[in-house]
Amino acid sequence: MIKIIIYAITFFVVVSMHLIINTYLAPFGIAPNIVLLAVIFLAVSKGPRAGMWAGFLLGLSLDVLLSDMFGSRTTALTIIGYSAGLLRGEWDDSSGLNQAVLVFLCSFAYLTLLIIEYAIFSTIQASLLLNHISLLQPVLNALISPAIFWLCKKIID
Amino acid sequence: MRNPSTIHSNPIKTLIVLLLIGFLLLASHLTEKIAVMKKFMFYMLAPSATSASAVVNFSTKSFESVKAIVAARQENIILKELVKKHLGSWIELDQLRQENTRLRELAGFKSQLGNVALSAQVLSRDSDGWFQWITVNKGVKDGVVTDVAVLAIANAQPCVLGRVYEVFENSSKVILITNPLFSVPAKLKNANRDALIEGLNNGFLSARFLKEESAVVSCGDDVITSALSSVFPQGFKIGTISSVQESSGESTLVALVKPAINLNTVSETIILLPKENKSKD
Repeated sequence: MIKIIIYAITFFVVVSMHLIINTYLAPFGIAPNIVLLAVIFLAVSKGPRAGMWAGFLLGLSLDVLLSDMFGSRTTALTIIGYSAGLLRGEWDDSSGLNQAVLVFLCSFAYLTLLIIEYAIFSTIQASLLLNHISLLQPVLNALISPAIFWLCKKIID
Repeated sequence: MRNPSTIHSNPIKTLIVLLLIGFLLLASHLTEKIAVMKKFMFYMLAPSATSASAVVNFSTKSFESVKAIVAARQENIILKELVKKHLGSWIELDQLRQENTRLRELAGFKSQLGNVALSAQVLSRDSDGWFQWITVNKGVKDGVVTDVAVLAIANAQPCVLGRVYEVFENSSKVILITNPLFSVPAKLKNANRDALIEGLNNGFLSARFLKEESAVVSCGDDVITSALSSVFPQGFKIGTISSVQESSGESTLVALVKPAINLNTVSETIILLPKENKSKD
């Protein structure tokens, strides 16, 4: 029961942090994707099962709150969470460079998945998703990932 | 000891189920049942958006209070000096003049709108959809309905920001003018040329004009809402033409429009409600 409460609190904190940073601390709209970082961290530290569930639930919450295509973030983050979770125990997760590279690749994959989903399911031209924000976000996510991972690890410990 | 094959097979089954749910949501395109489910989940998640906004507002207000206290102390010293010099009446006069100007502007603005103007704050925004959506803190309780105009102030005049797309109990989702799903009939301010404005998801808009020999579209021209729009009253500024693309083959002329509102810094909005939808507060 306590575990569920902790998970629920973590869930709301991650969503709130994402909203605060994206709404109030995003110069020109450029902000890290906190939800994506949280999913990757949970996946690499707890495994594919935790990763995909975190991806599914957090993605669903983003879809409910802010997305125009219901299910797009849910699907993309579930795939990212599962894939990143497969790396658990297979790499040196203490290296900042490794973390940055993984987050960059996952962010890029996330963007690619969204573009594919829009190309298949939406009336919006998928190429319109590419702008300065979406292109800079993987770099920004990668740059701050060592700090976020370190912080999350401290909280978990 | 658990069998390793069970440990590895279960996540894949779960993954397939979760992905199926995701694809089902994608393919359903918000059918009535899915929309009801989405609305229910929004109410469950709304506290996180509201609390995020509350935390930021509290921090901002606390910071401003500290600043105000410091400023008040400094002001106090200055005012004491002024009182000493018998200039109290001059300060009062100046304050009254400023207030008068502000009230005149406000009165002028309201009469220009002609609808019920409801001010709303931006509650949440996502960098994934930075040029697509914002959520504002007024909803059904305040009399907001879908498909009403949302404006913001730029250079002391109301300009087009978007329209209300979805309404919840205490908040509303606004589709921004730069969203590719957004379009609005418009015209040039200084020439009677109709155009269709569409969002480009990059901070700019495209304006499609029918090609005509007589009138010229040039950079710097202001684009305003036209009478053809069912959502926006006529005459609100949308933006300024920043470049014109000439193409000989097509029957339309496409121009790039820079929105009048700086979409990176928008925090206050005005929702234009029809007169019968007057706010309950």
